[in-house]
Amino acid sequence: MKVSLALPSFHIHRGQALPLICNRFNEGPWRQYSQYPPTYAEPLYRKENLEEFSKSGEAESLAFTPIKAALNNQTSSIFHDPMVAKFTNYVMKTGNKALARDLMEKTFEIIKRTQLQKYHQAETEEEKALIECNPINIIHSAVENTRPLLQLTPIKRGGVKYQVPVPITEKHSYFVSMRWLVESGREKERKVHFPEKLAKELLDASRNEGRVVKKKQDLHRQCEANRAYAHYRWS
Amino acid sequence: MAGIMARRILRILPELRSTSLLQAKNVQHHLPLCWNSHAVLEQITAPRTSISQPSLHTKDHLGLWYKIEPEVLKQLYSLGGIPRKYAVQCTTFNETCLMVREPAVTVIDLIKRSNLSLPPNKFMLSSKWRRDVKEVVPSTSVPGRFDHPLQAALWLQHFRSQNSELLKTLQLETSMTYTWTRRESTEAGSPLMALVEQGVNRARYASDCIMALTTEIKKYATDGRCKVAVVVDGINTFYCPNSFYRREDRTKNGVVVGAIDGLANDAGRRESHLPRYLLRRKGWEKLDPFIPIPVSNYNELEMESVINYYVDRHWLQTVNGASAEGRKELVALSGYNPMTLMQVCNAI
Repeated sequence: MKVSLALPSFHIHRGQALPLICNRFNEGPWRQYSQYPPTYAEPLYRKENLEEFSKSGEAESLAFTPIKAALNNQTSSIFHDPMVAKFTNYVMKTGNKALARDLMEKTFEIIKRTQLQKYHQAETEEEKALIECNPINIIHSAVENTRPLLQLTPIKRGGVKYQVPVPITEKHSYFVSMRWLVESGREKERKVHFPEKLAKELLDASRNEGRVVKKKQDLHRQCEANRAYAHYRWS
Repeated sequence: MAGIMARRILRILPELRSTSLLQAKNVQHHLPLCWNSHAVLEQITAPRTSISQPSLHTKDHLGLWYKIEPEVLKQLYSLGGIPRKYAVQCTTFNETCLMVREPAVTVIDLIKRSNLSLPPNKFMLSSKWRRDVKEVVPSTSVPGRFDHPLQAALWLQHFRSQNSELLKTLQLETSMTYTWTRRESTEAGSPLMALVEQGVNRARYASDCIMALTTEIKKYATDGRCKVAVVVDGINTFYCPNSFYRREDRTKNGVVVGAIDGLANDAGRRESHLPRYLLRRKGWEKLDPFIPIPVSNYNELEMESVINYYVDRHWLQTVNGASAEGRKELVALSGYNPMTLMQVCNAI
């Protein structure tokens, strides 16, 4: 059933915490399985967002809107990072979040130790200033550096499947990049531990080099080669 | 991170006051990326003291950090002695620093004031805080006794590296001839170092060497030619049912410092951290009378000091992690426990 409602057209960005009625339907039918009706707003759990919200007056519009319950891993802690929380979920296997969290913490510890060693070995102040030691910054730049711009989708035309380059949504590009990083962390010898390998991959990717960045470039190259099929997307 | 909060119980959230230790000053120059305070325009430095000799520390130095010089470190701890985890931390920090804490100051003060002509004072450090035996061999000298030769040899190496300078100046000699085999023996009148060398080279007799060494040293201490400090980590391991502990004689000129360690006990006996439980009845009666010195968790001043030290060493990397709010969170996550704080700070 096609739902068409006469709704006032907001200018809406993805991820914005507002009662996003029209956005819900854009995202596809699976969203209707949500336990919340589409009128429910996303929860705000960061203190800094809360202050912004009350200052800009948007809080008033939320005053009488029902709000979803916050997720288990959403805290207002200073040490919380949404992307790290997401990454932890991608590392997790069979719901064992405790182990996934341990692995992430060990990864960060290794990153810090490696970078600090470099920091202490650097001789001049300028060299030292160039070394990034914050693991959160490193994982952010690693994920940003490995995000693809396009993806290949098989489309059947005349009995033949063509790998057609199509634009990728922002959310999916983050997912793909994190999936690649986790996969490359798992491709290792038996004796190497996952956190060690993941730390190495993250550090490489944050410098815009390494296997995952190469994987992204390969995908882009493939898309470039298949540009002749691009029109199959609409015809 | 959300995980740390989820796993550890929120224990205490007291109001943290800013203490005199928090040295904040405005800096104009460019801060390196590694420095975690992009947002905060103040530089936090570790509260340090230049006095690196523990015997000179007083109550005024509590909560300050002192550096162990590399040469001292090499002499004392080249064969272990610093817990492995802290040793890793020290390589990362590019220095070995310790904080002056109340129990250490108390013990050193008491040792200085103790009367050495009386039987040794025993100080038992206990806190909420087993060494695996490498090899077990029936003893060659005493039937029915079992030795741990590899560990004995290691202990002798440790003894050699720690005390070599001291033994050279003291000129102690063996009082009797020790015969190991028909061909090997240590003559009376040879330096004590020969005993140590014998044990290191022939690991099979290392345990007997230790026995001989301790007997000699005890005799010299009673004669007043040297002073002895026995420092044991995990002293309660002697009183496990499966271990053999030889009776210690009354010695003068000595001092015994033991750390009672829950991990030194059997795996099944770790419910309580209190000394009576860990030492058992036998150990308690053997060591009695001793001076119990509880090693407590950090207080607020020490907590500030540790966090400042971590920031100074670039270990606490989270932006605003050392702000008032971040400190409160760290207190809640660690419950002022040193080990837990170290673990919490590993990932942030």
